[in-house]
Amino acid sequence: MVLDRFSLEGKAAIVTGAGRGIGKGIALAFADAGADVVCVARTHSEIEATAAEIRGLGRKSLAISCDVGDEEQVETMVAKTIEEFGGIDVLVNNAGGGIYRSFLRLSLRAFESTLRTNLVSVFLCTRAVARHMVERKAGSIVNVSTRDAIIPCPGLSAYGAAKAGVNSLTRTLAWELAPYVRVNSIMPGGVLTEGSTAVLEPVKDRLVAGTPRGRMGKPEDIALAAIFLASSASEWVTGRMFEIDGGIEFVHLEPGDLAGPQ
Amino acid sequence: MILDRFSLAGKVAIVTGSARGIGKGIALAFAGAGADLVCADRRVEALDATAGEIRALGRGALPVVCDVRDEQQVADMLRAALVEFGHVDVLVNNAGRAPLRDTLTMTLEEWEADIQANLTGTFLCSRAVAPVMVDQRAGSIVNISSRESQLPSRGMAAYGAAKAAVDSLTRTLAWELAPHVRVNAILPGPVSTPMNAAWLQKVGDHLVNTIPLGRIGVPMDIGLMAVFLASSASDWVTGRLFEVDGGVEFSHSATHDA
Repeated sequence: MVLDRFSLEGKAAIVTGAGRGIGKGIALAFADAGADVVCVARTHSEIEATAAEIRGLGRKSLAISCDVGDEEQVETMVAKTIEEFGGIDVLVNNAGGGIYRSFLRLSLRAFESTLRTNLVSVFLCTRAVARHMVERKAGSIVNVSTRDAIIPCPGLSAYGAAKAGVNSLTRTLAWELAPYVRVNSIMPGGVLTEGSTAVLEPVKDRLVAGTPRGRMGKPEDIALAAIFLASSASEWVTGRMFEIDGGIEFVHLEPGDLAGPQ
Repeated sequence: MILDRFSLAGKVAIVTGSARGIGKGIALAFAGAGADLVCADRRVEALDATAGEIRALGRGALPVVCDVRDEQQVADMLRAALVEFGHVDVLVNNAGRAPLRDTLTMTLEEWEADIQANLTGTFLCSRAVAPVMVDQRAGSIVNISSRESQLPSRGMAAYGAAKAAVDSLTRTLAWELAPHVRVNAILPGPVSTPMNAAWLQKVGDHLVNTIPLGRIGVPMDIGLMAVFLASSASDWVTGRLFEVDGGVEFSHSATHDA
């Protein structure tokens, strides 16, 4: 049955940054599609809430507090997951984020911190999980990148650079981990989440006007693409970037246009 | 239930070039996902066989003999679809041909024939069907392009150029038909079909070594991506190109000696 190819029944997935926003949306959608989910983030209360919602859907879920930029914590998180679930079928590298700050005001510390949260984290999590997936001869890794990685985004120089690094890793790892482990990424456009809604409020009309589909994104839009990439429906897809963005091309924003601290 | 978002239940899809190969794979995938099909193709016999397989899956199938290069036939095809089903929710522009040509000795007629088969047909079908979708305030157009649109296409210059043009048309129509009609393209890598069977016989073993996922594609690989793009699972996706190719990075035309 064709629709069974999209199911995640019987699969165990790790989703980083699962406490809120896109990561939470992916974790819940995966559970709805049949997966058991390990929810990873720094704030335990948030991931515990996501895990509780997943159990409410009848799936198993573990909340593991972890700074994905810390090598030891990542290794522990993966070991715990394997111990609890026996195996890992899907890894969603979603944890990350960026603050809007003009390049000339960016400190080295802020630049390196952004790289650690968005790029080094992907290296650490993927390395720990991929070893295991390669041994089992099966696995799908989904990296949540951003459209800001491929278009100019004043104020997001560090974030864009880090995510462009994630895109490159996606392509290289698709070859290194082939043929049994697939690696793909999703590049979301402007998605409204608890974190982004207030910040984007002053420019929302401009973004919507520049988006063919005429609306901002929801975490569910990204989650549906993630289900496709995690499932056997994408069995012949690897090394690719899925642009899920309402069709937006480029809307020129400056840090000062947005709300919130910069 | 989130997996319902991938369902095509209640939807009617036109798939051109669906008598065999990738088009047939897409039509069968759509039927498996709950859609009724309008199967358009030039080849009568194979068309009826495909329609039979769709009905065996419990879905409706209207086979229509149609050469997508002919304006009148395209108009007649759409009219037949609307008479039978009342609405059209998905159009898959898959009809096309990839004959091998030596670029420097091919004729002007051959060049124009390849462009017609692979680009003009997509334009004519989109031009005919899009107004119906715009009227409905809903629709999804899926263009079957090719990885050859992005890679050097030795021995298939016109095919590669035409598919690159299909990619461009995808982006333009996504904006012109927004916000209610979505337009996307799938770029298949090397897929095993009757059209390229002879070529695959010749280069198959060598080719597999260049594909990260270790196998040549099958029509269902493309069909599953098409189900994603046809369904509401891709509601926020338009103007985009989706490569389904096993990870391949370079093309091997028949001018490459195995």
